[in-house]
Amino acid sequence: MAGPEDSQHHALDAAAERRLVEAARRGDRHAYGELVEAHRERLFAAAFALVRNEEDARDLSQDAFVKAYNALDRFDTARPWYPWLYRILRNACLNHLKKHGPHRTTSLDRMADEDHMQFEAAADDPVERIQTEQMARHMRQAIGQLKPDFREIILMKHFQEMTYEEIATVLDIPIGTVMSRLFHARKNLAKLMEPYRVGS
Amino acid sequence: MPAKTPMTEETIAAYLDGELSPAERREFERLLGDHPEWRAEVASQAALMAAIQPLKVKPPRAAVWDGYWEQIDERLARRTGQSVMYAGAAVLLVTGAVLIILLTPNPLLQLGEALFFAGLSMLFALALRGRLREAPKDRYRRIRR
Repeated sequence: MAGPEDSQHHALDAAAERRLVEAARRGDRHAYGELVEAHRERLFAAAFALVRNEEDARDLSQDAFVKAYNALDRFDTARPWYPWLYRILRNACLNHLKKHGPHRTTSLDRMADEDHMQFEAAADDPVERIQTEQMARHMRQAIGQLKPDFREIILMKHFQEMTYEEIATVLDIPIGTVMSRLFHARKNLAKLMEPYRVGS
Repeated sequence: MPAKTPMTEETIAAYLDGELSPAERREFERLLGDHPEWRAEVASQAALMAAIQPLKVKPPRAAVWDGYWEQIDERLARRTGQSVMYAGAAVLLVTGAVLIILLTPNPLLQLGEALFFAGLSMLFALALRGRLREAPKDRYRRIRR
């Protein structure tokens, strides 16, 4: 298994993913390790966005991988694996929040978490980079102010890069609802970003 | 999407996400010309999306991945081993109970044994259930004992 230095997202094409899922289903834990490697960053980020605590996000994402492995027989291999895995994670996170509440972290933890929650500015030019970093800070605050449904769909679409179909599968809602929820989420976010001359 | 693209929240989202066909897109843009309020909304959301586009979530500290897979793998291995052990224990318990009850001549004693084994099975099931439920909640499971 690769170490932390190899922790970048490893893209798997659909056929390779299906092969790994089928091998894991037959009990090949090495194949499952490759699936975990390919999806762990994305899944951790999703858990972190929901529970806002690094340790919990780590535990919950690991639990989701364990649960998914034990339920692989019920997975339809004709479909992409990640939305199914995300759904397992989402249910686990919602149960966790129901039990522990959204304010489990201490104020010090929260400061550290929010620092970690920062978005990365991808620009190379230093001036552009500073501007993007400022924008990232405002964006993080604005996304944090959205109601949970809207925050979740923005993160799924723009940061988890899910398709409409994948979002519909995870949230168990029609694609039309995905589109209209995205419309309202962006409308609200644009309004919150107006003071920073975004969306105005 | 219908042939004549309506101006709705859904189509605005689909337009911004590039989900409309070229024909639907042309029709939508033609309609936008007649609806300045929708045009402003589309421009506002397009600007927002352009601001989001260069951002990506910062990866967590490298330490988050220390032992990440190893702990998952350990749990998968432990679970498989435990399932075999529990299944074996259940088979032994039931077989032993049936033999003892059948070989006991006294019906009253048989009833007593049946009750005893039923109680034992219930305890076994409760312990199994408790273990399955408790395992993910053990906050110290990462500590090697």
